Amino acid sequence: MTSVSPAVPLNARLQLGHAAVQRVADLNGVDVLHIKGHALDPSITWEGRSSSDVDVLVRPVHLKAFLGGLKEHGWSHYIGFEAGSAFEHAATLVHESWGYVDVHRYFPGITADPSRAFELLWAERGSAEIAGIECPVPSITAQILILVLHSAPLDNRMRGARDVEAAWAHATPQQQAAVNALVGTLGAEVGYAAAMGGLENYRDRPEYALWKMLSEGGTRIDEWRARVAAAPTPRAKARLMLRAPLVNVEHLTVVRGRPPTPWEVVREFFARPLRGIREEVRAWRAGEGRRR
Amino acid sequence: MIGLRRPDDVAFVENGGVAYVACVPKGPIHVLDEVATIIWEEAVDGDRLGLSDRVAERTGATADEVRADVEVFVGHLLALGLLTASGDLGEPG
Repeated sequence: MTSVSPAVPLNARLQLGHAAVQRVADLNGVDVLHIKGHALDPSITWEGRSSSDVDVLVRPVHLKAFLGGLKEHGWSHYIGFEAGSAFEHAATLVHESWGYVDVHRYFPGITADPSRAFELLWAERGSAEIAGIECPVPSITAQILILVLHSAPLDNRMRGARDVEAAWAHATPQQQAAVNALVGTLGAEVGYAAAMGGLENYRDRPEYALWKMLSEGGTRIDEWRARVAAAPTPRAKARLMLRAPLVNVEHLTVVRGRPPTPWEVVREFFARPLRGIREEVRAWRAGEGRRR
Repeated sequence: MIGLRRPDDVAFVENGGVAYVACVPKGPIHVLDEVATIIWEEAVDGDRLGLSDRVAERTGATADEVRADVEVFVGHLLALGLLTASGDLGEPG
């Protein structure tokens, strides 16, 4: 695995990373929007906000060319789409000089067709100069929406609250109205409600359970049930159900800091269902306790 | 009779007087100390004529004291692709 040299401060490396990623996009004729981190408009972020990687949203039809371009210029695979998160939305690559880049093929919470959603965001894009290189960024309205959606999962809640405070609470009524309109245009109602309240109004939506679990917590089995429910087609549901018992080798590699041995993969294969059952029992007991 | 400018593929971040400069995406990242950062900043200003004067002004030295070092360093930056010539903007200073 490629390691990242610690000699350059992370803050500087990330800005140069945005610039490097943009150059790869330019060299390959690829459209990307830089999101979060150093790409945020100063008017909607807060002092001291840190990030650990470069995030870009790529035009879906350009995804293959972009990943190929990154690899050609020294990035290597770190975590694939399927192993990355419950949404399977981003792959992570790493470069010796530029660190980590998360390549998003869509943004979690936006349910409009990814190509159509990208085109809508691209049409309203702005530009940010990062490390002296012009980088396309979503409009400020879209940046606020992305921060709100990103704040919903429990894992992001601490920083997400400050993001929402900086981006939403300080937005003008006109900006807030524009964000609300964009929520409808991009089909982001459920993720938005998970962050801002009102999630129970969307119990009939396929992605409801997944956002409920991510924003309020749940067991491993809850997550898989929710992922299957949210999968858009019967084929996608079947694929998820077949994958559920398999060991996430990439995740195990990240956790252990090295590729697992074949024996460790076998051991994990049997350990995962047991952990899942233990979590279910704990959750059931906690529920019983609350009822008493 | 040439000026200097930052090439289109050169990215830079200035942080506390230190600059991190790189050709992207090939790298590597070059770390410029405080004086090197001053020379680079003044060089990308475009006007090579008087570069030593401007560097001297910012460092408290005289132009004659810094001229040789500035020229050597600008030569390094040109060789590394971190600077490029940009046409008739003045004589080397």
